[in-house]
Amino acid sequence: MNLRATSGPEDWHPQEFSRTLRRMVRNANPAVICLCMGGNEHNILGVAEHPEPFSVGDSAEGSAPADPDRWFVPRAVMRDALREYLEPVRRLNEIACETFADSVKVFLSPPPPIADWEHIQSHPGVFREALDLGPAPNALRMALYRLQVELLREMAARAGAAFIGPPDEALDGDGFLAKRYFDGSPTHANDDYGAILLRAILERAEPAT
Amino acid sequence: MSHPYKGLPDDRFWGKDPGIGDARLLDPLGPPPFTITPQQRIVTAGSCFAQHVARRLSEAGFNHHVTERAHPVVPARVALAHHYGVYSARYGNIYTARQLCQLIDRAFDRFVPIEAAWTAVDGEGVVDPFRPRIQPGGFVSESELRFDRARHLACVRDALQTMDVFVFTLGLTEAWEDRRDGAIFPLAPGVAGGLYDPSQVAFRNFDEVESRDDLRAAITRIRAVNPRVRVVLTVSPVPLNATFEDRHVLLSSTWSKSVLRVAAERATRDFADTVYFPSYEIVTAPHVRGRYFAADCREVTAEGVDHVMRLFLKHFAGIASDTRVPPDSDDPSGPDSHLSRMRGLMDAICDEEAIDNG
Repeated sequence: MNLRATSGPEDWHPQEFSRTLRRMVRNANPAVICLCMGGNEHNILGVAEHPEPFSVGDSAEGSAPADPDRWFVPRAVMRDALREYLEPVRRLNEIACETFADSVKVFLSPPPPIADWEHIQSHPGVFREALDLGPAPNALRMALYRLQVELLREMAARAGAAFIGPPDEALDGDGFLAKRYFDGSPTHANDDYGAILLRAILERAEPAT
Repeated sequence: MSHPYKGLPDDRFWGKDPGIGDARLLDPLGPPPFTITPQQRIVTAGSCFAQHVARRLSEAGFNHHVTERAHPVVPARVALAHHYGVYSARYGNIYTARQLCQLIDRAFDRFVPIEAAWTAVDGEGVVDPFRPRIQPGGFVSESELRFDRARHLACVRDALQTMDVFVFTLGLTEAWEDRRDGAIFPLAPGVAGGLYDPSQVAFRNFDEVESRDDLRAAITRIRAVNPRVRVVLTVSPVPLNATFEDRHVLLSSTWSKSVLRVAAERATRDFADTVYFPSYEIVTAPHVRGRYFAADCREVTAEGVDHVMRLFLKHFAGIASDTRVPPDSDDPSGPDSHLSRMRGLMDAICDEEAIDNG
């Protein structure tokens, strides 16, 4: 279900959100709940170039991209910034897990970013007015995505949930979304990608069913 | 009958100070040789007490000249936790004049310490030996640290070259030195990263001559790149947290503050447009009967900081108590959205407190 259709996370009162969840989920005691909240933060930061171009700390190269003319943001700083942006997601996940306390929990990673700038320009979606500065460097986009996945994975571990990362078969050689999984949007993956994830979810759910 | 004290002003006589009756009236500062306007760029550095000075100046609408800012995508709370805006650049606490001198030399490529990185305490990643607590979580690798350090030192250069006023709070005389090249670490290896190896580091306790010479060298270097900068020197009233000397920490604290006070006084005599501001005296004066120290007998209370900064603003800016000048910070996030919003959240971050005998 699309929770965004109800209201914004900042408006959700924990008890109200819990009641809404119960109302929307037909099965009152689901064996498995699968949560894929918090997907676009890395894209908001990096789908297009920022007016103040920046880079993020990187283990191997020092900086991603390794360009000293960009505004350097240490990895730990960006990690804490992303964690702050993901705090509403953490709260919602927490409430969902408490609402269905007896269910097996599975958190899903957002799909990897799309590196194909022509595709993004052709399908700008909500980013239509934010693309005029051109693409952000792929190294930066991948660094932001990996940081977000890392944080979501940790969030899942703290919640006692399994975590399903981006499936290898859906990635190109650089870790971006492979072309055959593009959807008509700058950030989403298509039904085939969804089918791969569904298989992964069902594999995780098997012991509980 | 005539005598040399006859006719001297009241403030030369202990018993005539109004602060004896009402500590809030204690004001040991005479007219300073210069004033500070809200437009002038103020760079602050020093021990943890300097953080109070920086924050209060920003809150009062002065131009705390921050050259190393967090990128706009970084939320203010996260930026502050990573020491952006605490000082003009992310150099962390600078406890000794020797450390200040070496920071200037590193910023202008005159000194490249041998020790480049320390292993983080948790064993994951590295920290900067010269600002080991600047970044929660440390750096993911030495190459990342090099990137950040290059930007940091460029920002230090920028701050030194463009500031109008430099406020330096002298904090300690005790330090740890790399035996190989004399590099001074703000904390002993092992406290907040790195490994303590007595064959590689030596304990130093700079005496009055060394402290005077180091402070003189630092001001000389600063004036070489910024001849018109005005300098305000203070001594931190915060006692030592720990001493490596074989004596009670109170004795080491008194010795250290005495040395620093002498070094500061000498600098005011050696350099024009260099003034001493008596933070130490205001907070430790018998007039206040110890109430400017918190329950731990070490931290300075908000009331104490208020007194210090009230006199600072009165004498350097002609601002009466509780008056605010229009904000003129060159930090684009502005005191309203950045430092002021953090008021109350930000306690002074004291590296030295990491030292324990546990």
